[in-house]
Amino acid sequence: MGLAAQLAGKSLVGRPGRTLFSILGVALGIAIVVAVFTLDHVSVLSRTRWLTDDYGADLEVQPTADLADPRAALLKLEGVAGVAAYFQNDVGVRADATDGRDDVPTTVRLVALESESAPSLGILEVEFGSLLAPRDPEGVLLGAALAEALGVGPGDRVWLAPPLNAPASECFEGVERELESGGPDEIVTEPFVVRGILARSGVGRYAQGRVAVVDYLAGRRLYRGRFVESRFWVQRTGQVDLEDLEANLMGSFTFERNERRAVGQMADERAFRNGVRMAGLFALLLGLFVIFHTLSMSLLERVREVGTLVALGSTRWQVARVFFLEALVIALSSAVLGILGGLALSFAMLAVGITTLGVRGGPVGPFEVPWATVGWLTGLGVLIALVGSVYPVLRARGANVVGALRGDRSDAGATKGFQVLAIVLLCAVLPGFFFLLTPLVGAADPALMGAVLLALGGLGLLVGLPLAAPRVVARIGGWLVGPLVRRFPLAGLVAHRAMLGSPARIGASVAAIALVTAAFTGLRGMTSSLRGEVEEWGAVAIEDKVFVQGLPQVTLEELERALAGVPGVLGIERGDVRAYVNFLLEGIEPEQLERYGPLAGDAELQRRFRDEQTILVSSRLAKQRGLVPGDQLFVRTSGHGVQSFEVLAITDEVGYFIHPDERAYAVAHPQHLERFFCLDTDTLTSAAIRMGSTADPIAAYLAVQQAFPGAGALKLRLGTTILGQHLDDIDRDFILFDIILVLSALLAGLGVLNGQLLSALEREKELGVLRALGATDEQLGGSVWIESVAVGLTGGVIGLVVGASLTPLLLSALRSLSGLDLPNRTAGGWAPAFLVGAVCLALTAGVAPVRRIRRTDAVRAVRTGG
Amino acid sequence: MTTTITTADPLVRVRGLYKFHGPTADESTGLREVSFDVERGSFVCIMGPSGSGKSTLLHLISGLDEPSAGSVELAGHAAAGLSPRQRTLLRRETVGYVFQFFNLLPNLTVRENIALPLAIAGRRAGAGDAKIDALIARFGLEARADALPHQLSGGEMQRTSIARALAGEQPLLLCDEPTGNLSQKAGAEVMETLRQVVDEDGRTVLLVTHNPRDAAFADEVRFLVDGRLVDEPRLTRPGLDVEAVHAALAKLSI
Repeated sequence: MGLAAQLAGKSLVGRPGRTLFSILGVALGIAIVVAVFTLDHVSVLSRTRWLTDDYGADLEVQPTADLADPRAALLKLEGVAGVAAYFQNDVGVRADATDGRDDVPTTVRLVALESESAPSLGILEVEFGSLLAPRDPEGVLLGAALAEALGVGPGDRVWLAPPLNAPASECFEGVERELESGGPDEIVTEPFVVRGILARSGVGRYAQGRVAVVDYLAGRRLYRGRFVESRFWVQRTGQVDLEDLEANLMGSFTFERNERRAVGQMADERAFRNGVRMAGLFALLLGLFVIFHTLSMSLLERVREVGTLVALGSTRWQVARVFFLEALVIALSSAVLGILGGLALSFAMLAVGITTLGVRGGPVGPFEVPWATVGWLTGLGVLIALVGSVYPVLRARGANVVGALRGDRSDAGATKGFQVLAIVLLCAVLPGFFFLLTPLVGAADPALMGAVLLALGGLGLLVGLPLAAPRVVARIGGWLVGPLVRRFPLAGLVAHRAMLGSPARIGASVAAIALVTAAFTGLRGMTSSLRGEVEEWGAVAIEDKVFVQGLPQVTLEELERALAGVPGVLGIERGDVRAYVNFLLEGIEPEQLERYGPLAGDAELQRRFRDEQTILVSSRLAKQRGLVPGDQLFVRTSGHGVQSFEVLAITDEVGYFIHPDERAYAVAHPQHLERFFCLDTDTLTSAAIRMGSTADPIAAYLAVQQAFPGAGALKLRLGTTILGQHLDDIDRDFILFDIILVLSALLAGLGVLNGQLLSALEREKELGVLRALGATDEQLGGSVWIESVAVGLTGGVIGLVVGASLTPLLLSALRSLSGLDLPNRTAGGWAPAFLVGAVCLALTAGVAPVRRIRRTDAVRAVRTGG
Repeated sequence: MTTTITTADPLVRVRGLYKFHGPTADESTGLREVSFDVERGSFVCIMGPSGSGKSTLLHLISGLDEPSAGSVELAGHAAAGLSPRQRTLLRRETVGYVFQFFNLLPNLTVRENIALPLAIAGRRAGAGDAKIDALIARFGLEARADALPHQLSGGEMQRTSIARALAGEQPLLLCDEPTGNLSQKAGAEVMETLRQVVDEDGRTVLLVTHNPRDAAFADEVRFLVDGRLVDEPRLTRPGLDVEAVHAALAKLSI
């Protein structure tokens, strides 16, 4: 075993506390970041695995007007990567000629797609053979299952035949009717050459691989004389978010999302997922902060050992290797422990339904580890920890032998060097590589980048300031504990001087506590604002309602009669006349909306809602689509093509129903839904009863119960209860952040503990002398407690100030990111709790150092010099 | 704990003191059957070569360490049976310490180091300032009062250390090779100071050293050889000077 390995081993084993707490610190940081990304991976996976990705594009769009060149119009839109016109229909396929035969061909799905555009969409991939050439008139790609069933491969010939009758039906004027094919009466068959067999992804997954793909023009030729509905698949670039692209499409197109591709991509989901990622980065940063701090103090503690080794003839490189090996052992041990801990943590959270897309009722799976991401991030942590060790290495290489042998610990230069290195590594290099390895979810728009820069700025401020100006921080700490110093003269004096004598250590400890406190303050301000938004929305949309489900197919009139004796009933909103276009469209009778909401007291609006094709839009849908009154909202119907509705008003007062829990919706006269979607508007099984603000919802509740006693499945819920659940959901969903921050607080505590423990070791002689002079355990331990209070108070106050200052900016960024009208709120009443928490955290971290101080050997201390 | 000092008793009474460094009495035994008294207001020196157990003896007297056998009485209080905390409080009220390596706290100024015993005794900042000022003036440290230890010369550091030992007003000063790290001139100044402490302040000094010049300042010199306090030679005044000490050492082949 070489000298470096021997000394590193002795150092690690000889200081088990320092070694253990260093490993724990980095491991916890890695564990949190591993847990975050594993959790996010499984969260998205669990939602997408049930959704088919029939086509690989993000959106399926259809022009709403007679655009001369819809393709060009689409390509002009910002964020459109590729466009392909297509249509699809059933088609019969045979592997041989059909002339003179009357057996039934294999019926599969035909996708006729502009073959020249397919590559730009990235939705076609062949396993064997080649893709279609542009405008290939006779080429066909077959799904793997179809090719297998037909026993054909690339180069073989197949015959395609459109069906005689179109299988589809449509709703026309409120009546479902079968579509007339309008085509020839006998089967037309055309030969095609198999160019390739599709891979089992993108369109290849369509209809479980029983799919044939031809060029768009070849498809039109095959279906000549028949009705086919052409649409466009649109693929977006990474520079635009889905909602933004949808908003851009609003004017001239209707669209449908590919739900599988939209999972985790909505504004609120993106904000949440990116927030969780930032929390992961935050934890990793804190973990590395701990090891830097430890390595730095380790050098100061062992400066004489370094000098002695150099004096005895060790090369400076041999000395440097000691520190590098120590860092390597700590970092690698932490990596293993961190990965195991992170996977266990994510598994545990998923087991109780905690995900990065909200909290679910039960276990979430399947548990699958994104090994590449986990590996990269752990590697990043290990690498930065090792780079951090370069500082002590450089210091060791340049150690002043004479000074070291004299026991000179005045090492201002070294401390400054560490601070600079720590700031650069933690605030620039780590975030840079972190985002390079794990890009943010969503487009890099100014709002998102602003939020990220804001968070990084906050981190930089909190890490940088105490490190760059440690004496200021140490003085603030000293000032804050002034009363304690007066009350406990010796402990106060020792603590005060220890703080002023080790400003870098105090600065680092304060920074760790401040970071966590600021994060808690910001988070609580954010959840408070989100609650405020829900409260404000709920006061308008939910609070004065009674929601009824499970009615026995009653008419609106019957329900009105049941409620006739209840004072304060303003109207009844149907809960089950709804269609899912590219948003939730509901039907409510205009008569029910005459006494509240935007139509109340406005005869002209009432008339237009009743007589014209108009619509009321919820504030969230309006925000998502950028709608204002007077805009046109296009809705695709099956029997009447694309219909246009004029936005009459933006309101949340009408239309919200508890199932589905959707705040982006629009309300139209039920006659439109009956006419375009053939919905039953004669009876209803669910409704929301709108009450006046002074009315008694319980009375309505009881009246419905009495009127329909036989309805076994009748369910009545008060709006206040529903609102309470919405508010609880916010706290529940954000429990993930609480967990991450509590773990980060542990990390900060470890940092403080490490600092104090190393300080106790460094000052062992001083403390021993004090003991020899008559100081008691309580007095010596008291100095640690006082320092803990100072660190906790200083960190807590700085964290509160920074957290409170950043909260409005954070909310502003969140408003842009999520599209929510978030009110300005602060952590408010939580602030004192956070301050107490910060002090308690620092005090808890002091337990181990105090125990160590109790073991200080006074005899040893007074025997030796230096 | 309150210590009542009765003037009739010796300030330090040591009887049959043993200290084993291993588990049993053998050649590694540090002290063997050491017995002696130190009267109030006296200046006693114990001489011996390195490793003879001088420092160990001071640690046992001050209660920093516990004897393997035998007893120590300090100002009439037996140390045996006291808890570590009680021993600490007895030391705090009875003993001032002067170390070879000064052991000043590096982060405290000269004034703060001197005032340390007051802080240890729980006196609030500001209390005792006049006394501290007087000590600073007495030891010629006015110009260095706000300096940190690493800015002082060895002599200044040791003068500060002695002033600190006096600040607590403990009756006994234990001095462990106080000139071991000083020049001859600075060492002589320190010893003169200790002599003054006995003569002018009425304090009791127990000095351990291997330096004959230092021993010559004492009222009585005893010799510790291989952990035993020998009965002869035993030097007392008059007739105690550097030459007498040298002669005694020669007689003991030290």
